[in-house]
Amino acid sequence: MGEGGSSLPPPAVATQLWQRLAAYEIGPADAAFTFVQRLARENRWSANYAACVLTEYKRFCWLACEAGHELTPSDAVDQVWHRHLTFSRDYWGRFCPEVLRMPLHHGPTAGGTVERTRYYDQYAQTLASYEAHFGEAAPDDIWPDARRRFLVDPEAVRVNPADAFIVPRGKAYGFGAAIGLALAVLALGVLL
Amino acid sequence: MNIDLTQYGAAQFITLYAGLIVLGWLLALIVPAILRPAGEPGRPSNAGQFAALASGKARYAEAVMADLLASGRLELEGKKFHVRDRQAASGGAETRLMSLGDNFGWRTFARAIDGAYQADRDALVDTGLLTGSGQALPVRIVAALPMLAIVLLGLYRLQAGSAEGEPVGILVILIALGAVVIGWRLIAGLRRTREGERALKQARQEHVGLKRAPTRDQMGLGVAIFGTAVLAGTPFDPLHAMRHGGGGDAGYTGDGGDGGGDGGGSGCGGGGCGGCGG
Repeated sequence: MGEGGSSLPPPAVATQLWQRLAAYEIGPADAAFTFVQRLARENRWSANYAACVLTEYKRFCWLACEAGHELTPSDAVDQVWHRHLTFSRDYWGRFCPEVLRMPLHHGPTAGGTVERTRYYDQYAQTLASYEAHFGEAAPDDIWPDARRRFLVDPEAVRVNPADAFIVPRGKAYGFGAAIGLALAVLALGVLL
Repeated sequence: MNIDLTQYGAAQFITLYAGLIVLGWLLALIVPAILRPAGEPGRPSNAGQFAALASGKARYAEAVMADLLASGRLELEGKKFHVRDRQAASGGAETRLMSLGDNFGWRTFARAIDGAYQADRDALVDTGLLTGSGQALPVRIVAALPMLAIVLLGLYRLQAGSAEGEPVGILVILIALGAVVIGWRLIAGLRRTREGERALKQARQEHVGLKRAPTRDQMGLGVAIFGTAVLAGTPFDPLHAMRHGGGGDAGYTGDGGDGGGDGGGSGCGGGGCGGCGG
């Protein structure tokens, strides 16, 4: 494992593979609409969060090459991977052969109990390997718990804001409560 | 000193008494924190002991079961546990469990491990992390005394108010609340010593990662420290649902849906779909 050649593997960030990953930029460097900006827009992420998820994607790719087992990404990291794959010339022509120096395939689940169990085990192992190689726990706002990863995130659907109102639940509940309170006060005023 | 509670009007007394009830409730919380037995520094030696320290017998059974399911020795189908690998039993309670038959329900399982739970609990008492029998009772009684005095005061005023023909409905409700606090304080265990509290807090900090996605060999410890909520979204979600009516089973009991994820990694081989772009 790793490229250091010593008995103990070097920290991930000290490897040549990580140096190549860190320096790698997806898409043309002079693009008016950068890869990170695209991620932010398509996922309704802030620019800062999108940049963080891209870093986590690179860490995931490092683990895919070095961890020695199959991995499962978080949903956020998976979104980066999906988008990266659509840059197919870049992904297969530059990223895999020059940066990773190996093919990295994406395998969607075939569904069913056995597959779900396999992907859960891989996700748990991915988090364990992340901590072992990067010396810190994966950030939980990008790598959530199993409930979020396997019960909530798979419910996501593609929605065009031109076709629907998108209101965060917290705000919707607050708005509903405010309306209910106003109606209660109004009813009390009428009764008194 | 002669306290004439009838000199207070009903409204004045209710305001005063509501404040006393809140004070009594706060004392019922604070006094045990101050008087809790110190115990001895120590550390649970296995997942079962962590469960006994964190919660009690129910948590202990859930942690043992989570470990058995995660290791593939048992499998949960509906509400029955099926033995899948009898040879893997590691002796003691596990061997007894595996001899229960090819399948069994939760109650049978809980009875079968009762002895093991008692042994681990006793070990924690000996270590000084749990309070022994009778050790915590004086603290619970002392913690309940302020509220007892407040309830007696309320009863005295209730009698006087009733004699004067005052409305006493709210007072009765407040007295009932006070009685509930007394009952809770006397019945609810004061199980852990101060050192037990410290050991549990430390374990929760050290193993916080288990709340996210424990690996199979960590499943029992995760449940022991944090409860079956850590099973939500894992292949063992049905145990969480069975024990605590957890939300979803992540489709693990069925075959439909896609709710898994994507994966990848080394060893896939081949060129895949590379170069399929136009």
